[in-house]
Amino acid sequence: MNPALLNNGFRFILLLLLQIIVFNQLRLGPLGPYFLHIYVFPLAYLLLPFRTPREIQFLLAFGIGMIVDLAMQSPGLHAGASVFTMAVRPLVLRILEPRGGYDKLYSPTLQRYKWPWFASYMSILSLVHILFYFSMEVFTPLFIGAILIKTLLSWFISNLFIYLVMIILNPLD
Amino acid sequence: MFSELGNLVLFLVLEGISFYLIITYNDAQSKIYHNTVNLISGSISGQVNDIRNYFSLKEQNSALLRENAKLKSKLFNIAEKEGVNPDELNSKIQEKQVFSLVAARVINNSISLRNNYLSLNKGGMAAIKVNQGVIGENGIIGITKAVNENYTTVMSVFHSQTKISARIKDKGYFGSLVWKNNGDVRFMTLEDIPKHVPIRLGDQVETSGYSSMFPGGIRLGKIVSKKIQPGSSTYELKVKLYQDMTKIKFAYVVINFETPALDSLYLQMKSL
Repeated sequence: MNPALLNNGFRFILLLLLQIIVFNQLRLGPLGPYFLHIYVFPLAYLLLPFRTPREIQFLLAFGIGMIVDLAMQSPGLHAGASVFTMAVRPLVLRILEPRGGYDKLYSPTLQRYKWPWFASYMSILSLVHILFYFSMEVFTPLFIGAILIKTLLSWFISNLFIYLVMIILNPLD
Repeated sequence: MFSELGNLVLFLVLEGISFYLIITYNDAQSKIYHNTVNLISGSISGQVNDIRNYFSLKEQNSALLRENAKLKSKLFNIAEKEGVNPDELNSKIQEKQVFSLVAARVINNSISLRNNYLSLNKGGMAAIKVNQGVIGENGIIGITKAVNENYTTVMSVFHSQTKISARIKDKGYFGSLVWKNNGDVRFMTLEDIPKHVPIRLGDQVETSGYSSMFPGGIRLGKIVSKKIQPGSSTYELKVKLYQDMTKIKFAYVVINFETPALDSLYLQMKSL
């Protein structure tokens, strides 16, 4: 069995369980449910190896987003955000490209590319996901203020947990 | 492996599905979506309609005259029966008014979809709210679903979720009028009438008055066929509508002054 397949499969399941059973249930203060959402599951599709075919990337992102949506009863919100983030990923990879380029066989993990690179990669793409999600959740540009506040707060706290999970698991690929 | 173009198409399809799910299964988003579409299409088709209307003024005028004449003759007949003159009758009615109608022009109308909607050129400024009934010259048209200041979106009776309380004239048995999604806008189906009731083809169907949206006794259509599904205890009655929804130009929104009182009663009951 292909180890990358096994690794990623395991990660998808683990992060889904973490997201649905733990982070979706957390209530951080009385206004938590409105402003402080913790999303760690984007990590699952953002750690896919560079060589993953594009269409598989899209379908996996859509699938995991949809499962989280079904658990949160918000059909389409996370699925749309995940697919959109997946579409932006190559652009971010190109901007962050290290000297010598990427090794096709690697995944964008902390162990492979170290902190500064990994933090920029993860924070940009999680911002894209969360911004897209809250734009669709609020669904009207009239409340742009609400979208931005929710996005910034949730982005900050989500990133803390994403790095925490990453440090604990610390996968090579 | 797809090409670049294939991936773009896949991306768009997946986003399309997500967007569809968002506006279909999320309440707030679906309301905002319909309101926005309403606002945009309302102002566009309002312009188009202004022009188109100009050419059918004569026809519309005579239709309104006919309706006016019909109403006047009703008024005179009632006055005759009650033995008063029509003006006195008027003041009598005004004392205890339950319904008030707002006339509006239909500026957008779909009949070919599974779930159809219409737009009216009046909105919140004319005291229209959501969940009010909309009637036409010869029957009912739908229920208001989204309202902004100047426009209203109406869920047509030709919508998979339509369920209108209707009864058989002079017999009093009532059921629900629904639209089976067979695309035929001439007929609707009356359900839930128990099978022991004697039904004759040609019996008239009218609104029951059991919902606060529509006054009772609005003629809707007549029964053209009846059948009982095997194992079912109720009729499935095909009703031919009097109203031709394919060419309505005007509609009346029914404002029921008792609705707030009834709603608060329901709320009380719910909280028990």
